[in-house]
Amino acid sequence: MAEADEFGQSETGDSRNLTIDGRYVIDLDQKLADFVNCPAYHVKDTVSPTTDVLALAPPALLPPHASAAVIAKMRAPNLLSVRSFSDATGSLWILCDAPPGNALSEGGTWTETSVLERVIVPIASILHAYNEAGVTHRAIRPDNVFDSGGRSAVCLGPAVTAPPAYFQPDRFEPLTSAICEPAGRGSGTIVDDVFSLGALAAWLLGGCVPYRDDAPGAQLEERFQKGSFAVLAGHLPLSQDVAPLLAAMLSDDPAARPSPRDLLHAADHKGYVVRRAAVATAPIILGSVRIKTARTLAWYAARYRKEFASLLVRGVIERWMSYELGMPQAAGKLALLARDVVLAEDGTIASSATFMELISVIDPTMPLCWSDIWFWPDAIGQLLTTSLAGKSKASVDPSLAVFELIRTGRLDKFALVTSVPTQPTACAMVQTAARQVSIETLADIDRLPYVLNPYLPCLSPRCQNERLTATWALLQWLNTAQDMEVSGATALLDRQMTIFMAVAALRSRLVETFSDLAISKNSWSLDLALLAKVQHLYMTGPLKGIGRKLLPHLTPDLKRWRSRSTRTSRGEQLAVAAGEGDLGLMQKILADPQALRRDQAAYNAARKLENKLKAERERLAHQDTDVPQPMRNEMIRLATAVGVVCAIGSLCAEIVL
Amino acid sequence: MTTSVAKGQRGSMSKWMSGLACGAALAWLPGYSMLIGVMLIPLIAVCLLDTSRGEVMARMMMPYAFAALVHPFHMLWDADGSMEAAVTLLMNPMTSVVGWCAAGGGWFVFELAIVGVKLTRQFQVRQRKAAIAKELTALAEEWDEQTAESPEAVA
Repeated sequence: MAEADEFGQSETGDSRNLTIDGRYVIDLDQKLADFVNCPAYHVKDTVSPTTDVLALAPPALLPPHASAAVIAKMRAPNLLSVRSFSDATGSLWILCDAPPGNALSEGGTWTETSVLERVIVPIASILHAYNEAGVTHRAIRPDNVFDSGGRSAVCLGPAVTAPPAYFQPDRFEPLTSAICEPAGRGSGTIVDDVFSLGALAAWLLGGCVPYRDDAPGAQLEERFQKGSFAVLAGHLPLSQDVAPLLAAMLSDDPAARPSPRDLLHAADHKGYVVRRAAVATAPIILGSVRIKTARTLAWYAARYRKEFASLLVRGVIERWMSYELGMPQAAGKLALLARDVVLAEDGTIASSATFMELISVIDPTMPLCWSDIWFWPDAIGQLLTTSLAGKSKASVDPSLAVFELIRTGRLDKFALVTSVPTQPTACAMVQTAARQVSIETLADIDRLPYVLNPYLPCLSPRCQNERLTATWALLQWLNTAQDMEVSGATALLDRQMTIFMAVAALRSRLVETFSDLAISKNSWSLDLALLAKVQHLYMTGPLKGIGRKLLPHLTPDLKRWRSRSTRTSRGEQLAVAAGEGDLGLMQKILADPQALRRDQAAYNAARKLENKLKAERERLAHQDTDVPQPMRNEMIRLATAVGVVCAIGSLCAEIVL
Repeated sequence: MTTSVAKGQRGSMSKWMSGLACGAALAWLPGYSMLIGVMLIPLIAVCLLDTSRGEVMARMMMPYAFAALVHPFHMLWDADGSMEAAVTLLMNPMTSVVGWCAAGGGWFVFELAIVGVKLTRQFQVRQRKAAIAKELTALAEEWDEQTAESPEAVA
């Protein structure tokens, strides 16, 4: 931090302490155990020293959702409040109260009454507040709910420490979310939180059986066949009051789940009626699986594609849905789509877009299915982030799937078919974001996560650990970091840094289009051009460290000037500008088209003169030095004249003497 | 054809007239003729030996020989141009040596001027070549693309 005073003065007191909001001092040397899967640090509240506060630092690849700032402001009884959600220091820090007790994951004994009174009702109250604010929690699981003991209500942990539902075990997620990989789950709806609450209640009533060793997706098949309630709570000896409540909360049909408002009076033993989904009396056989519901058909269709395609083109699916499930409208849409189906060589449906539409028509509550990947459109940013970091466990590259989806414009189709109210807006946002950052090739897809999530730090491998969420912080890091000393570096910035800066400027409306700041590739000179613009846009002041790092690598650009004296003088000017940290001046010295044209013209003139001189030298080398005849004649006349003068002189002398 | 025939006729006529004049001079002025003949021996030799430019050279040497002939001619005039006086003058070696040296001096002046001019021209060419080499070196230093950039220029 030797040159931290050059620009962008942070709230940092010294290198190992951070001060947030003028009162919370984070001791970076005092790292605590992870809190709900998020790295945590000790914090001292200078205003109220007895208050126990935690500082949470979400890892770069697991940033909070774009609407996290709204969620962080939520206040409700029994909700662990977030005191500060700020990236003013250049990286995102979440300060929240320390939990009042142990996490529920540590076990305990729970009765139906205690679960109703201390868990369901208090958390339903929080969810009601979330629902009123139009946001979701998506992190209701045993390790994020804290019990202070006694008869007091449990306390729900923060929702902004990770992407929505990222750390949710499958058993606490509805089927429409559990079939997606963690990064593809998205914010979902409030009834997904209701399901998680019901699953938490079932887990507590089931004796808090450890779930950490559950294999991802292990219960999915059983849940699709029997229903989530039957699998998660079917074995529990539930009373007549609680069983319908949990059955409703754990319903696989989102529309059948109660709203948080309905749960506020759950402790009063209010009667709940489970609305049964349409179930076929005659199952349809797909592969070796007997299917009775549309949801199950949608899921298995993605697994048994060939068999599904065969039944679809023969009209079996259409008839089954119409007669057995009583869904004539969906059957009609399927019939229309089936007409355009083209089968691939292996007998599956050739078009991913058509298959996606078919799945959405069969069950509009299911997530988007594209090339064997299930995901929600509002999770595309996090899905790409995980994929680009190489952490995706999907069989198909999600980047390719998202690119194809955007390129073919099929997000709009999904938005039209899905019954989840928040998804059409998410689809429109993704399409708008894709247009903003001009995604034209697969390589451009890594721009999208930055547009979709302002809390996504720069994902450059060099500074990922710094979690830099602001351009000024990245510039400061570049100005002071020593990592450029590694040999073989071909540029100061890398692709992630340039995209990060361009998107940040676009978001701040400092530039009109992404291409105003984007560069085609990273090289020392192009990086200088970009950084000079950024220095000007953000008015950062001198960037001496960056200037010094760039300077030794700009020699090839100086050679564009053909005149040695110009090169030398510009090199000296460049060194002075670099010393002053004026990147704009450095760029002006290097990229001066008029001077370059003048230099080229002078070079051409010099070449002409050189050729002329060489020709003259060649001519002189072969020139005859003998006296030419006309000159010789002149000299004869001259010698004769001299002789005549001598003769006259002699005559005169003879006369005189 | 007619012109060349006329020119040939005029040339032979001139030779005839010169021969007659020489004959008349030998007959009526034998002393003067002998003195002039001896003094102009170098010119006659040049005419006979140098076929390419003998006539021109002889014409050029003529004034120098004349300058040396003035004094002996004057002395012969004073002795009434007699044969004896001419022989006496010619018997003095200085008379013929000075005359012949004067004719040689004319030739020497011409050759010396030729050598001088040649040397001057060679000097000028060498000087121009040196100037061109200097200019080419300056151009190469300023514009040579292969020249490596000195590190201190940018460091």
